Amino acid sequence: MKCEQAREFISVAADGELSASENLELTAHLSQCADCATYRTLVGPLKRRVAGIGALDAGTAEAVLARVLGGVVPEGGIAGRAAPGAFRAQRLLYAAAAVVLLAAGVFAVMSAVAPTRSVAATVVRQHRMHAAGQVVLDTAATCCRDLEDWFEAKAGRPVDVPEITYPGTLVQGGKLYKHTANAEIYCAAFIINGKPVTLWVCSGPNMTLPEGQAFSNGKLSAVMARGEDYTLFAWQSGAEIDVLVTSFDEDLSKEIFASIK
Amino acid sequence: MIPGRCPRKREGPMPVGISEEKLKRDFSALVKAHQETLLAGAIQFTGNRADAEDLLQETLMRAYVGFRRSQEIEKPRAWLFKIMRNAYINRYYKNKRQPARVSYEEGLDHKIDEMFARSSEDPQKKFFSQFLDSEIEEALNSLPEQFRESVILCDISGLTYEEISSVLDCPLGTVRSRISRGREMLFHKLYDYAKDRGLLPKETKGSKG
Repeated sequence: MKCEQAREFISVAADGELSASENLELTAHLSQCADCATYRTLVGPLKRRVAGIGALDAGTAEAVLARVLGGVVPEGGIAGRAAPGAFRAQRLLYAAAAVVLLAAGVFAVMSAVAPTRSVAATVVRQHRMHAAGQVVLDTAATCCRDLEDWFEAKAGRPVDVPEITYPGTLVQGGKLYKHTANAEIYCAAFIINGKPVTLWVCSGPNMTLPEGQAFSNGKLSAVMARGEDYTLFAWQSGAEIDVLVTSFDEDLSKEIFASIK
Repeated sequence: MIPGRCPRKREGPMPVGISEEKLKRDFSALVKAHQETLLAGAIQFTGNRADAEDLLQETLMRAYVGFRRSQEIEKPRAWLFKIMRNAYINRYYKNKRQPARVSYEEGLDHKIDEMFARSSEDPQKKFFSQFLDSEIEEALNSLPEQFRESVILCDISGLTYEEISSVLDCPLGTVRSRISRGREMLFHKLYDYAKDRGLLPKETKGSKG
């Protein structure tokens, strides 16, 4: 046995994963190799020292789980829930103000994209949208269906979200992602108030919408989804999509979007 | 199919006959046994507690969505860590600072001699206890990613080789090799710290080397 292999065996032995036959081989080598014998005495202490940096405050993980389960399926409906993916933003908000209404929380989460009183904030305010949460759609989630799945988890009930789009600009540019069913996901880049914003629109052979079509007025871009009692409104900032849910009023929606063109 | 929609990825959003409350309870019971090690791993993956909490949250959210689809999880710990690793890679790793790499071309034996051969009793334990947690973390972070994550999953999260193999999607032999080499690299890095901080034992008359 060469020393290189013996070092690996020593490491494996420290983890209790060495087989009996390998142990015999290692023992034979160690009886003849002082360097490896010394090395063997080091691996255990190193392993324990590395493990020691993983010590945690009790309750931290428990609190995260409680928040996730509280956010995943809120009791009494979806409105009024803070975004579970923005704990840090929430913590900042809580520290900054004694009372932060949910809508204010939404604006804070969105502030990196659109400052208060921006077009986006105006839409949210006028549309009486509520934060339902955040969903990451960078790779694992690649489709409006993922949004839908996420929304179902939030709502705790079956959701089928027929998409609607508003008359707007056909967005060019962006990046295409392949859907698992070979439809295409159009990821287009926008700028809102000088901040990068990304819009995800499903498209593909099964879609009635032209590829990449989305609402855009040069200031705000959005994909709207409608259910019986809500509107799903999503845009992306970085890798996170803020999902806002509101009581759906198509006429009001059109009016609002028309007003900001 | 509703016009304008992607095809369904699955049938039905809710498991039949299972209430949401029961799902939450079952999921909570499944996660609780592993949440601390998940968080410990997340801290080392991300390098700070704030990101680690976000990573853990994202992991649990994704896991819950999966759990709602199927409650038959054969290896829950490996399953959770795999979700966490994917989330980490997707979200954090691509933006993570790439630390200076450890040079491990130089032989290890003479460094071990320098570190321990002249020391008194129980030199190994004493030697490693001299380092701050931050130095151990920094040394860990200096490893190439595939070695770093293997050591984290093994030493900090306490996963078995089989579980690590499942999380990393690589053969057992690769896991063994990566952990072993990762530890050797750690020795090199800690030797450098010890040398810089004057922690190496002073040469004494009649000492080795």
